[in-house]
Amino acid sequence: MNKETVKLFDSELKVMGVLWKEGDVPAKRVADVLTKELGWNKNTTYTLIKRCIKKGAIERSEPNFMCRALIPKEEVQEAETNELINKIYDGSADKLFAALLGRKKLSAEEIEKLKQIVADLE
Amino acid sequence: MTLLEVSLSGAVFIIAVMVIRAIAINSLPKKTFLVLWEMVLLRLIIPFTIPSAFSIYTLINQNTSTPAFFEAETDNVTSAVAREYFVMIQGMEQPTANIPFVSVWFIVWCTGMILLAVFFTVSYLRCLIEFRAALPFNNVYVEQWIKEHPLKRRISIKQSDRISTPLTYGVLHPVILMPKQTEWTNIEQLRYIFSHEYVHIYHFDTIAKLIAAYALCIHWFNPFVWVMYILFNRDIELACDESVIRQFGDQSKSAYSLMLISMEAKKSGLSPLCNNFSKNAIEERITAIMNTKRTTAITLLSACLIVLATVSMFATSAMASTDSKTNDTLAVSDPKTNTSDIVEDKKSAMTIIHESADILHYEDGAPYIHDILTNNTDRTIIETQYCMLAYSETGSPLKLYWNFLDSSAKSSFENIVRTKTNILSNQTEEYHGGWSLYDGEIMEDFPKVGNGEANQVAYSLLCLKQVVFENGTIWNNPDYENWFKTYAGKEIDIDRLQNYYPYEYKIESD
Repeated sequence: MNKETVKLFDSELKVMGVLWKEGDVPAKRVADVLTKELGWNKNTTYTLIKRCIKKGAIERSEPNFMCRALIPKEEVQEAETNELINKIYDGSADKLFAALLGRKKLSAEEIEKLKQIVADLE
Repeated sequence: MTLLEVSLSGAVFIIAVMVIRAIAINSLPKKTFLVLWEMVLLRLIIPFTIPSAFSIYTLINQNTSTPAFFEAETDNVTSAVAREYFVMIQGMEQPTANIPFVSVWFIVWCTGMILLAVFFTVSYLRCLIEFRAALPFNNVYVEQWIKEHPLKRRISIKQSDRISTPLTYGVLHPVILMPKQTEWTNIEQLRYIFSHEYVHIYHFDTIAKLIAAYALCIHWFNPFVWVMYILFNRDIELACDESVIRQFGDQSKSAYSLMLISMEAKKSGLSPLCNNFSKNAIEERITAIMNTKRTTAITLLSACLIVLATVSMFATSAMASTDSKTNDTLAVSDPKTNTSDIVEDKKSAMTIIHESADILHYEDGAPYIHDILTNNTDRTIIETQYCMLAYSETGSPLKLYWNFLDSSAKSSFENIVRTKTNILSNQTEEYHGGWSLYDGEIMEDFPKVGNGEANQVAYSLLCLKQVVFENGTIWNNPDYENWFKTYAGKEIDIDRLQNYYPYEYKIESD
């Protein structure tokens, strides 16, 4: 179905790992394995399975919500960190506003300036 | 106090803390500002007034009423919400006869509050899904660190590739979440990060932030509350940094600052839009860390004094002294008015006035009695109990089916009504609708009452029996029985009916 490389996050790779190791199994089995291994609750696993389906890494079939890996381990790429979560969550409202207003990475100059402040006040 | 009054006095308090913060951010312990912000939050969330002789509202006290703009708004928005004093009149219990009146402001306020609350909840839940999918992490140092930092709540440390800077979540089962790129071998850095997050967990900062978000949802229309929200969140970080520096000693300041800077630098930028806000925040934070000083007896004492002074001035309301009957509502208008005259004047003239009670008609022709009260006391009226009598055009007393929707109700001359309201000091009541009257010719859809004849009421006489004030005092009309004997069931001169209003009630001071 999908021969392009698929980018997956670590948690999604854990889900794929179960399928690569055990072959086609029902979603419930994946959840059980990951609960044992990582302490996840089953809804977390189901959410991740759905994401993998959306990304074209897993195919689902009835009955029992059988999951099949559509891509081999070698074709997977690591996805890049999604900054948005830090921005929204990290407690600080500055970041919330930054997320809303859009924000630029600190430039080299600005970092130099901050380091200068540290040096000056030392 | 109504929500708008709370919000206004909260804004004044916030400005005061902002000024203190701007002047003394690097000379007072950061905890000072946290305490001040927490007081602001209490002020914003709890609708009580704490009278204080030092309150700025005692100093600038005056008895001019609040401007019309506020009256209109406070009347409906706040009371309804903060304390469920819905501006509701008895007649509204007959839903088909009257259109319930809900202020536009109330709807706007509600909508804003719900939108903001939904935004916060959805963002948090979205994050939570990601956090739950984090992977456990363990190495020798992590294990040892957890052992060295026992807490009643079990702290766990996990890692995720969905974040770029460390964070903590969860109140009962706190989790320190580390980015995947963490240098797990850099023990010094790990120590600083864990300690920082540990301070957050130890102080239940998540709950403080939650309460701040709650206050923001309620006061979303107040720009100063937004400023408070931002600064409070920043000051939580600053206080946390300060604890870490105290713990590791002065020599750690530079290393700690440089670690923060390197973490900032690692963050990737998503949008090309530049925003100075967060840049200033990091600069403020670095400067604050580098300026951390040891707490001396003097700084501690001055911090306590500042908190005490600020709180007693801004978190309180005016003191209502018994002899001068000062006004405890927030005075926002012209400070130049000569207040002493008004105070004198008012002391001798505490009244409530029934301005009028007119027979009006809804668009469909259904008649109702619309009466208006003016509150010339120094307190807010929250409930009234009064008696209504009705007369025909010729001045004959009318027996009416006052509660005509209740088929078992009998007709009577008098109708005694108890109503929740919210009339501020020196305010004239404003509302739509009123007590619906039965009119057999117009209200054909209604079950027939009596002989189904048209409305005969031309005049209505109202008399207050009891008034409940916001401060809990109750005024009982001593002349009520007398009034009832004079008017109920009696023929009254047209002249007298026409000149009955305004009807004044003298409220003797206690």
